[in-house]
Amino acid sequence: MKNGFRQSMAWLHTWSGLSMGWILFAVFLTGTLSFFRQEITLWMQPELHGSIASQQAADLAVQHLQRVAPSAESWRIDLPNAREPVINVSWREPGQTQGRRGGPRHILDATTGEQLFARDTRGGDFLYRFHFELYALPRNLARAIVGVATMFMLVGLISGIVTHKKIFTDFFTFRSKKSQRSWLDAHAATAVLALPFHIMITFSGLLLVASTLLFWNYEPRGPRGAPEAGSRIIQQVARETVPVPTLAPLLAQAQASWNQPVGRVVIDKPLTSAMTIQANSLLRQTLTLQSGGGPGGGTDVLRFDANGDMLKMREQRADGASNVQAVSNTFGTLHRGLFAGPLLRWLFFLSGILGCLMIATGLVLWCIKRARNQLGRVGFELVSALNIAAIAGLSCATAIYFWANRLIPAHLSQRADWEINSFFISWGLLALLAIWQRHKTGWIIQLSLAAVLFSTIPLLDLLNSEPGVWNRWVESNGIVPVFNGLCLLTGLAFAAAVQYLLRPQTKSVKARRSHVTPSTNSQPEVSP
Amino acid sequence: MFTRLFSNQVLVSGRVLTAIIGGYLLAMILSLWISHFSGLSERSARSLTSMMFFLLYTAIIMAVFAYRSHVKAITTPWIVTIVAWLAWWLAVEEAP
Repeated sequence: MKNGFRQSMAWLHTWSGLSMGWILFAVFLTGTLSFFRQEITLWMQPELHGSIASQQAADLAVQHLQRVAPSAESWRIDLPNAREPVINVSWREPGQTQGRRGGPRHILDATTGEQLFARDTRGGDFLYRFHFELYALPRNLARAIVGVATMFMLVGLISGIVTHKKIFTDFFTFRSKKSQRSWLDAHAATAVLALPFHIMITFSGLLLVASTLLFWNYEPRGPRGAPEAGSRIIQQVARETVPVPTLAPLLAQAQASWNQPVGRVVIDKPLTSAMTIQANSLLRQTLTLQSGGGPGGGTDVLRFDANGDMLKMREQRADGASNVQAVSNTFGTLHRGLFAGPLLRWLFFLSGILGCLMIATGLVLWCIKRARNQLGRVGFELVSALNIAAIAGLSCATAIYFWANRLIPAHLSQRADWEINSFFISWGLLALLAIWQRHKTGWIIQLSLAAVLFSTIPLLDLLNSEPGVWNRWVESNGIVPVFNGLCLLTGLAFAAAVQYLLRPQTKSVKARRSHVTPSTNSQPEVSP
Repeated sequence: MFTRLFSNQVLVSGRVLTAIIGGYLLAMILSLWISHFSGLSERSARSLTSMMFFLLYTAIIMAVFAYRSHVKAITTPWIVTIVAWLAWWLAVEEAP
């Protein structure tokens, strides 16, 4: 701290990154995958792959709800879309507490309206929840841990920018086959390439967990399980048999009005003369409003009465949110990608992958820099082991989560829990393996395992699917083949990493490593 | 004087604690001050407080590590924090 400003910032960058790097990698990886959580969930429920979106989906859902929930107080229909080609229906019975969640839920085929019975899985929602609430920890504690790690990330990012005297020159510099310099260049390139994304996702992530970190700034919430704010006990209403108007023309009207598809239909007091039909747009048209289609929500809404006549156009609440709230809401919307179409979602995903690579290269670089002087010391060995466990181990565990989805029998009780157990048990075992083999051999073993597990996922899917799988893959909007293709690519990337580790060493590297004198039984080759 | 009394590890630990705890308290009171004078509605003021807190906290942490002198790095944030909190207590909490 006495060597000047940049050196001080470099010290801060190193230690803020290292101390939380492993959690950050896990948060970044699972968060990045969460941009496609609906697609992941669909892949993990092969029973749904045959469903194809149709114009009659809403009316098919109404027919189903008339049969199974004629006395419900409200019906909710999530229409099929390019990301989820099935109909999700849920309803609330009279006397039930109305909150954001709850109520029975059925999944329907979007073409026939038949109920589909998909295997029990948490799918992409597990990865999504894990990235900000971890798992099996008290909610506030987990969010605080993730929040603190994110704060370290922000400090690491800003101090990293300050540290680089020539940040854009560094970006265009890649010195290959130079060991430490190559890793440094890779770290800088992955950071700078998506720097606006990294800053946005980190700052907005902090705002999303602000209620935990800045508890003094928010009203205390009631205990979990208690009725949520704005919830109400639904009262029994007198039943009539007023038919629901045909929804297809109403939704076509809404779609034409917004120039985008309808995502959700909510029918309040169905089958009564007081019935209202609310259609919400699939995506947001604005960044500055809060999520949802209710007051202050960001999706467009049209309402119709029991005769199918439009009630009123929703007024955009630009006046309701102050500029400060609008900025805050924009960060939240950006973080969750609520407005994003396919192209932007892919850009977010690729930026997230670059973020993972930035963290991974930074962690590896710490070891490479210190290999000569600190090999054998407890701190160095601990970091080496944690690096392998966090980077390669988590990658393997994610692949095993997908494998477990296909290998655990579809009708096993609590199979969703067993999928998650497979993830954590395998991650734990790989962490133990990383403690035992915490240098180059450890990397080779775990990266090879990741390569095999990921690259064979398409084969596993093929073997587990019923005949006619190709047609169903195509019918699922290409989601399933793209998922399989990405797994194959990921596997090949891990295989390339293994090949890099197994390459013959140059003379200079050999000569340098020959100077490394391990003070324990550890191997002299410390990291990739 | 401090540098003679304490080892480098102790002084660096002091900086870390100052940055994390002192920085949190200082960022908290500064963001509260900014929100107080912003004249915004309660809800907007809360949003402003959150956003300002994280920006200020980052800046304070970096400032603590930017000082060349350990003594200044450790004492300055705490002095500013105490003064800012006292001023808040007198001006806002005790205001009629």
